Amino acid sequence: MMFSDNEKISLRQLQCLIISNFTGIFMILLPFYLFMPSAEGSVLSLIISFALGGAVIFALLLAAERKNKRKNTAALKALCLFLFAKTALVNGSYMALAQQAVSVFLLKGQYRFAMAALMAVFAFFICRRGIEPRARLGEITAFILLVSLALVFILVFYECDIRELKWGLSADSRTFGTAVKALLLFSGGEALFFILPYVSRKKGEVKKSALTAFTLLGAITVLLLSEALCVFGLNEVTAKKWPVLQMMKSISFPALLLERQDVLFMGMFIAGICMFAAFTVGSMAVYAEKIFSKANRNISCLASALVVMVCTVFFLNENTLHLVLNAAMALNAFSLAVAFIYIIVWGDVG
Amino acid sequence: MRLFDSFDENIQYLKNTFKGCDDIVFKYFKASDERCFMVYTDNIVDGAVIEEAVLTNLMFRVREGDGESLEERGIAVGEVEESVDFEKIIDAVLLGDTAVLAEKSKAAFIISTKGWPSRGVPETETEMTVYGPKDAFTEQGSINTVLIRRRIRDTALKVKRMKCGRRSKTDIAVMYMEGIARDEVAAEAIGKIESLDVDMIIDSGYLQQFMEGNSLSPFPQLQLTERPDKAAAALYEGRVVIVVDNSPFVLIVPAVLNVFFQAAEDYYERWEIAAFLRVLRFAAAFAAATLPGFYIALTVFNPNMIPPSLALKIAAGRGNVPFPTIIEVLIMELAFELLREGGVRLPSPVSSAIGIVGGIIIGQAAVDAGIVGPMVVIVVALAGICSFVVPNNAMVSAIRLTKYFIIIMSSFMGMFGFCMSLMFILAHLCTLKSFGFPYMYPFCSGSENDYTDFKDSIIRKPLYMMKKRPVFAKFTQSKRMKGR
Repeated sequence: MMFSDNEKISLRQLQCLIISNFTGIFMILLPFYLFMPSAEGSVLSLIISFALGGAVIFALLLAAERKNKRKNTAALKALCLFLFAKTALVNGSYMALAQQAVSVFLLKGQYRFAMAALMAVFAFFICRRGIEPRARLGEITAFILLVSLALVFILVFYECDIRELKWGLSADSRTFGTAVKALLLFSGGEALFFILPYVSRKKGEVKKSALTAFTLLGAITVLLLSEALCVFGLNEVTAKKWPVLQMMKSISFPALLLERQDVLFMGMFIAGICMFAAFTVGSMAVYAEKIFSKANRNISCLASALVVMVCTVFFLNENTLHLVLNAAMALNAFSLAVAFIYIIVWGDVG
Repeated sequence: MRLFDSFDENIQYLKNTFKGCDDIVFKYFKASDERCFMVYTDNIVDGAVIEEAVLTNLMFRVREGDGESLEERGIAVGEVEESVDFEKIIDAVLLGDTAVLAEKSKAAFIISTKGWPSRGVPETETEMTVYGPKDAFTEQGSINTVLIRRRIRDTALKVKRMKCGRRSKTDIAVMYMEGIARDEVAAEAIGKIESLDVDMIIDSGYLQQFMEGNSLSPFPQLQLTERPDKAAAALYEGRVVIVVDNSPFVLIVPAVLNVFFQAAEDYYERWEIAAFLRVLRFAAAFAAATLPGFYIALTVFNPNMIPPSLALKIAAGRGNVPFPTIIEVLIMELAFELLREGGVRLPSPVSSAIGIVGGIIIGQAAVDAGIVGPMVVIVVALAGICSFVVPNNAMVSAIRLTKYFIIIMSSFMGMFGFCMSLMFILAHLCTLKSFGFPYMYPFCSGSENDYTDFKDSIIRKPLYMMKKRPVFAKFTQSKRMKGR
């Protein structure tokens, strides 16, 4: 049977999952981090960061492809326990930042708890049925995101001052450091390793598909970020907390019949955040199932959703923002390292 | 239970079984010198067949030694079966067949004499078209299979007959094109019907609910149609058709979201207009579900999105309205639902009057009285009209229900709630499957059939471009047309 309940996704669905899971969150958080002290060299840092990210993914998948894999249950459980906690803290904090942006734009900064709860319910709802429905939703969401972002890019393009791009591409001493930090801040590559058992594939195809999707994701992010820099200019863009979102306010398109189109385009970001929430809960549920081998999927998804919701609501505020970001960087670096070690030494996640 | 050796005992058993059933007719007669006994149900048999082809032959034309068995000697009916099983004989009698017991025969003859009242082949009422055939299925299952068979003169069309319902013993025919339909889909359909242990199947709607994968979903996962041409086309596509006796609607499986937006007429008209109507239907369905919720999100939470001139008009219209927007919308929506429900139950001349009275007079009176604003009336009416554009009633009902979910979410959290409700609905649709096929196909998993099914989705491309069968057909039979 072609569409059987075999818990397998196609390579195209894997690509769409990569795009839909990260596009929304990257658009909101990457500019926030890269433009924070100064926008100089930001675009170049982003390009380097994506190139490094691609290399990391390639290395990870290359290591995962090797034969004669072994399974070390104790090591795997320890790794998954760490990844569960890390994903909850880091992704929960990112979701909090993203929800903050949406709340400010659409709800005057209110309803933060309700938003977190609703996202958690959504993530639970889609994840409890396994990876297949999430992959299908990913296909549709990726299409919506790509079309909407292309539309945003075109609609804003005429307001760009292309000369401002030179600041974004100028290299200085901190460019490479920023790129590495950005990579560490958003590296969740080890989650990909745990998705691999669900991908129906031939050898070598996953690398190609994952890298294609990652390149596309990088290209969109770089284009939108560059556009934000060109629209606001070097000085103004630094003062903006969510430049890509704020850039959409300048969209003026009479045929859309609405006064402000940015609110309409926020829908795609909400879709992106929802997919990120689903990715978070889905990954955590997989980790939970590895830790407790007899775990029921409903319970593991419910527990994961609750933990993420708590992390989203309680850990992040204006005072803890920098602390959380630095902690995220360290945790991501460590998780990537231990995941690599596990993959190289044993390689089988079951 | 098997027949007794004694002729009289058999008669006694049958009489006892049918005791109190005044519609059962018992008749003794003699064929040559052999004592015979006939039993049938009154009014659901063809009296002429019984008189001419059975009784007259047996009573007056049969001479002993003409042939070996009674059937060969005198029953001039094509479909005759011998049976020694009481249960089978009784079931057959209740279905309109006639059972004849002869003194010297060890088995009873079940003669096909079905001839129950029928309203003939009616015209379509729920899926009307300007072009294309006008005939529709009827309550008689045998006629329905004929209506399909007439359109498919191919021995590959297989009909599997079965009964469902412990007491109703409803005749069900599962039809599929051997070699084109996927074996696993036909087997799943047959298996689901066979495994059903239920008292009665009164209509195909019953079977639909029992066969759905997710019965809690408002979205239909089996397609109901009253059009034989639609059923025949579905068979050519590799889908499976289930004909239920006593129901003028047949079931088609698998049914994904896309097929509910395909009308029969789409293929009888030129592709340009068909494609336009298809886009219109999808847009209308989206508007029908989202328009009231979107209105609430905009006016209550994000009025800065509305152009000032329009915002002023809405505000002026709402000036005297004492209710919040959500209540205002719900009042109108419920009024609209009542009108719709009332219209369905009443005879058509009265229902049109109800529509006029409700739509124009009450709507205008409500606005004049300041109970609702004129913009809400427009929004609700527009959403209602949009829902009528969808060519499948079950899908319309699903859209009606999801509309309330969107209204509630939008009224709590504005545009965020609106977007989240859409995500929830989309996620729900992505979890659904119909006989193994993702409900959102071809919008997701489209790569499984090289995206060719997009040619018959939101846009209906020219027929000559649809060279391949949809994904429902076997891969080996995917080509339905040679290149042009």
